[in-house]
Amino acid sequence: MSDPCFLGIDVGSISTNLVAIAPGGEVLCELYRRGDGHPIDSVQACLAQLQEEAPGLAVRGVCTTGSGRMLAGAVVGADVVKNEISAHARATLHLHPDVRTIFEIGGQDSKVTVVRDGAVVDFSMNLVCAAGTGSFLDSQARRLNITIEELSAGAMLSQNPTTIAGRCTVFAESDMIHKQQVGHAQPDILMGLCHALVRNYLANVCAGKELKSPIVFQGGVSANQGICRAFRESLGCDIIVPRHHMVMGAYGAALIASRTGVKNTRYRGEKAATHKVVTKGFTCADCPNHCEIIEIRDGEEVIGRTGGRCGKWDGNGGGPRPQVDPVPDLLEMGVPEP
Amino acid sequence: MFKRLFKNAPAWIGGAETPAPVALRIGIPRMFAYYIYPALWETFFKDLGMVPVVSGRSTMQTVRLGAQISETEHCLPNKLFDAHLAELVGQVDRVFVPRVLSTIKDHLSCPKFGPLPDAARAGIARDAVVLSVDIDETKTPLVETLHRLGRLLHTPRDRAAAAAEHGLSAMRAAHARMAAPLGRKGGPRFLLIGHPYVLHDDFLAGPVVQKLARMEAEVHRISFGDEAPAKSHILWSTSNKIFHKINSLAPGEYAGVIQLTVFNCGCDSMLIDTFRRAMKEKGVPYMHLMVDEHLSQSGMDTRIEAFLDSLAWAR
Repeated sequence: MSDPCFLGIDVGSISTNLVAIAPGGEVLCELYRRGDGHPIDSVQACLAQLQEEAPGLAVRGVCTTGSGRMLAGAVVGADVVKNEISAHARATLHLHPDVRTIFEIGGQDSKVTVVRDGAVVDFSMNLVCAAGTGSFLDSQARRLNITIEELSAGAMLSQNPTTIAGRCTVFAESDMIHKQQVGHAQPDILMGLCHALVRNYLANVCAGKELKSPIVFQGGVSANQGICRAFRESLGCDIIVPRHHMVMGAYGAALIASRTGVKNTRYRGEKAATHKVVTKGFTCADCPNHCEIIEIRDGEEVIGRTGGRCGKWDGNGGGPRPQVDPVPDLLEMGVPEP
Repeated sequence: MFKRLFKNAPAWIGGAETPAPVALRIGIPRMFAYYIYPALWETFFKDLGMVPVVSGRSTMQTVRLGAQISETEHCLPNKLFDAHLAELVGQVDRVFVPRVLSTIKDHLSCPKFGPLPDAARAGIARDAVVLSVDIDETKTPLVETLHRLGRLLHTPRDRAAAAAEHGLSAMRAAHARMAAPLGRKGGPRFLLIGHPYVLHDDFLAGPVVQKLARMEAEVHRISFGDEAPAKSHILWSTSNKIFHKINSLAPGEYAGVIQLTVFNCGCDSMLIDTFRRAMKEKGVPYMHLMVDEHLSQSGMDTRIEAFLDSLAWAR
C-alpha cells in the first residue's frame, strides 16, 4: 500500500526544507531542518526523516529549489530544478490566490515579489549585502548572547522601541552598543533591531516596487514576531504569515513537481537517502576564467556537476554539453578591405 | 673592431645599411574606447603601419588584477580598464588611451573618461609611453580628430586621411555586427540595454548572454551605431540613447528588456529610476541586473530564470 506523493526540497543558506504533498496539493509531511553547512547530509537526513514520519509514500516527482538546488537535484534525482522566486510564488498563490505582494526573508537572501491577478509581474532580490536578512538578526542575537527565539519574544515586550542604524551590520552593532551604554532596555533595543531590518528591507529590496495589500510574509524570518510587528507598524496594514511559512519554497517546489506532468520520475529512491554521495572539485582549464567545477559522484557514477561561469558543465555527467554562442570578438571578426 | 664600432651607425656616416624600420607596437586596452569606437583603432593604426595589440578578453583574472591595482572607488569597468592597461604595459611601445569627452554632438561622455589618460600616465602606465588624443565630437568631428592623431604620429596627410576613412568604415561594419542577435534564432526576443563596454564585455555581459542563449532566447543588444538620437533632458550620450530606445519600443517587439548596470556607475544609478518608470509606462517586462565583482553565477541565474518564469506566468 503506497500513496503517491510529490516532493519539494528547498536547500537554502541556513535551512534545508522538505515538503511532501498528495497529488491534490495537501501537505503530507513538512520538515524544516536548520543546516549545519553540509547540504548533502541535510538533504539525505530529510529524506531519512520523511521515511520515518511518513512511511509508504510512492514518490512520483521531485523538484528542488533554493541556492543549493543544483546540488540537491543531483543527489535526489530531481525532475525539475526551479529558482526559489518562482517556487515561493507558486506556494503563496496556492494558499492565498488573492495575494498581491510577497515578502520573503531567508537566511542570506531577501526578496520581494509583486503579483497581480495571480501572475508574478515583478520581483527584486537583495544584493550581496546581508543587512536585510536573517543572518543580520542571527549575528545581533549572538552578540547579545540570546537565542533568535528570545529575540523574537523580547521584541514583543517593547513599549518604546529605540532607533538603531540598520544600514549595515557593522554600524548596527556599534549603534546597538551605544544604546546599551546609555541605558535603553533590552526589549526596546531588540525591537529597534527589528525595525532596522525592516527599514533596510523596505528601502533597498522593495525600492521602486508598488506594495499593495494583501501582503504575505514568508521565509525563515517570518517566524520572528518582532519582525512581523515591525512590518505592521511600518506599513500601517496587516500582513499575512501563511500556514507553512517556514517551508514555502519547498511547498512551492512540490506543487511545481506535481504540475509538471512527470511520467517517469528520475527520483533515485532508496539510493538518494542512503548512498554515500561525494563531491570532487577541479579547475576547468578551457578558458582563463579557471572556474571551479564540482563533480557530484555516487561511487563511480557522476550524478551531476555544478559551477562554472559559462554553464557548459551544468547538468548531469552523461548528458550532452549545451552549445552556446560566445560573445563575438570584434578583432577576430576581421575588418573589411577598403 | 672598426666594423663593429660602426655597425649600428647611420648610413650617412658610413655605417652598415639602415635597418628596416621596426613597426611600432601600439597597445589598445579592451575597454571603453575599444567598444565605443569598435574596430576603428585597430584599423586606423594598422593602416598607419603600426602593429595594434589589443589586450585579452576580460576573465576572472582580469577582475582580480583590477581589484588589486585599481582605485577601490572606481566603477567595475574602470577597474577592468586598469587591468587591461596593465596587461599591455611592457608588451608594447605605446599604449593608446584617448580622452573621450563627447561622442555625440552636444552630449557628454561619462565624466570618468576625461582624466583617463592622465590617470594612466600617473598610475598604471607610468612606465610606458601613453598616446592620447582628445575626442570631443561636440567641437570636432571624429574624422578631423583622426587626422590630428595622424599628425601627432608624423604620418603624411594623405595616408592619415585614407586610414581614417578605412577606420570609420570598419567601425560602421563592426557596429552592424555587434547589433546582430545571439542565441536561438526565432526564440523569444530579449533586449539587453546598457553601456556598449558592458554589453560586449566577456566578464560583465557574457554570463547573461549565455544564460539567455541556453534558455533558447534570441538576444539583442542595443546598438550605438545608428544615428544619434534627438536631444533630451539627459546629456550623457549612452543614457540618452537608451532612453530613446526605451521610448521607441513597439508593443510586443521584445518579450522582455534587461538592463545591465555595473557597480558604482554614477550615470546608471542616477538614471535607473527614469528607465524603470519609462518601461512601466510602456508596459514592457523589464528587469535590472547589476553586475559587481562578487556577484555569484547562481544569483544571476536565479534572477534570469525567475524573470523568464514571470513572463511565462503572465501569458
